[in-house]
Amino acid sequence: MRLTFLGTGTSHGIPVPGCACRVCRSADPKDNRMRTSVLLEKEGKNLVVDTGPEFRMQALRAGIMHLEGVLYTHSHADHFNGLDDLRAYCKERTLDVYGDQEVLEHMHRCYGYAFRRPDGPLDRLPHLASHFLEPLKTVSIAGFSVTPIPLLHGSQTIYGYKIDDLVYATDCNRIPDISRPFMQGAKVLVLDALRPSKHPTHFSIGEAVGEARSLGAEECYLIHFCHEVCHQELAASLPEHIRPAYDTLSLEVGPCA
Amino acid sequence: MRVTFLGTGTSEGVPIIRCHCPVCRDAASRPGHHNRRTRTSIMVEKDGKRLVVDTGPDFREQMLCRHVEQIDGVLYTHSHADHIGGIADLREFSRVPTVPVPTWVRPVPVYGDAKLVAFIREHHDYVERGSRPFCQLHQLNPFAQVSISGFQVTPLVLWHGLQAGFISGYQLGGLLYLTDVKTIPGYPYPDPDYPMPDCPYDTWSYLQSRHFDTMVIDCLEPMHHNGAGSWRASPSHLTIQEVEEMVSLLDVGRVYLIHIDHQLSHQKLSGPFWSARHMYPSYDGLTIEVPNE
Repeated sequence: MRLTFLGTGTSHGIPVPGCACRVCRSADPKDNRMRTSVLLEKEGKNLVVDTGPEFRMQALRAGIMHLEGVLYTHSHADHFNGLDDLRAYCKERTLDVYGDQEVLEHMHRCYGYAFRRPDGPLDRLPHLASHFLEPLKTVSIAGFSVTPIPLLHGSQTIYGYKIDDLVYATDCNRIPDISRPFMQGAKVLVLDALRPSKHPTHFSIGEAVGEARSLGAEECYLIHFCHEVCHQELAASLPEHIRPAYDTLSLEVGPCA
Repeated sequence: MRVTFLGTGTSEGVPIIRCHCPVCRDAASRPGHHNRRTRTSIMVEKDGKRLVVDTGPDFREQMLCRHVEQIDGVLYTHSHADHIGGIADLREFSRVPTVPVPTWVRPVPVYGDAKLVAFIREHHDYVERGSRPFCQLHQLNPFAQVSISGFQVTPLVLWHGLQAGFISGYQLGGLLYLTDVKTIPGYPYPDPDYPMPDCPYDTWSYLQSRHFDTMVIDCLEPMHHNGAGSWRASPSHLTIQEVEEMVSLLDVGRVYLIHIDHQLSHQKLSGPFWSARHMYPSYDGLTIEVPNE
């Protein structure tokens, strides 16, 4: 399975409009971060996790020519507001989208038009079919083995996902005990690490490093950075098997040893 | 007053994902090319004040491209995703991004008709919620002129087809901004294929009785052949032929076309046929000067 980071930034993206800090002014393209999302490719099938406002730009940049499904972690704007641009993948058939009850309700309330029947060949709207995923229950989606993992994002419970040998956990500051066994010993762990200091709804970098160790992943990539994080400095300061992700980074996630 | 076209493309943008037509290929392979279009939005500037009309999903990117650090208000035309999808990114414009802790200043004033304000409250309630609301919603009434940060703004009523219904256009001094138009209420030659429901407002008479320096108007695509010699237009947007007809009946100095899709290239719209009618294609980043009155 190939994992590509479409975006690795926090809710405002980096640079922040109008911000003159050194990270926002950085000439290093790795400090340029769109909103957090990943693409997974296996045997000619593609899945995307979340569609932030830059989804169209990310899809063009990564050259995503077809899409078999979208997994949603939660409905915050930076993970969701690009949903309308899924229309590009609905021209021949409806596209399957997945999430918990909160995500599905939000989707039907705010994008009800995406669930109506097509009007005809000139119709350019998105056409989606939504599917509820039960927590901790493994399902097969387009050949990927997918297990939703409840995570705490402040007081809100959202979904992380175990997808084959990858564990993807964005927007969380606590892992419920019931979820831990499903996250243990992944080949690749992708984990929220907003900034150096503590935050009420995201792991800090220190907390994320601690969790990565306790979960025993072979490799860990940190995501969802704010503009306090300089890529190069963070990369130099992390333990060997833990790295900061950056937009367009792409890697193979092989089966666990 | 300076007008900057932040985005000039249709809801899918140009290039369209997965499209291999010559216009999309051209747009994809040449950054900065006039055929490369983000979602439709403009910015108007006068005396150091700045308003933006609509915030599509490309809003953040558009602000970064044009180096905009502060805005004094947002006018919304309607609530479709390609015009409102970037609303969450107004958060950064409600504060001074000092490091490490931002200084919160004031919510961004946001304007729209009653339907728009209700839509934001229902679907994007986070803009007003919590300890640091970042938008302040204001309802505008059709044809009731208001002064916003020194701009004289008159909301107009347009029809955007059956699904969206009636939406807002705006007059800002000498500028007429009409995006996402199927027809203008009161227009004597509407498309018979898509009849407009009754409307209490006669926007067409308002437009016909005045001179406008610059009109910016929706021009999605050319008309389509529909079988045996008949033509069919889009159910929710104007075609180039319909815009040409409307323009010939109004007193406007010049016309810039927006909300363009990949069937109309910049090259096609730049010919002498169109310039003889004072019609020009807009492109992302184009700036023009328009009189304040």
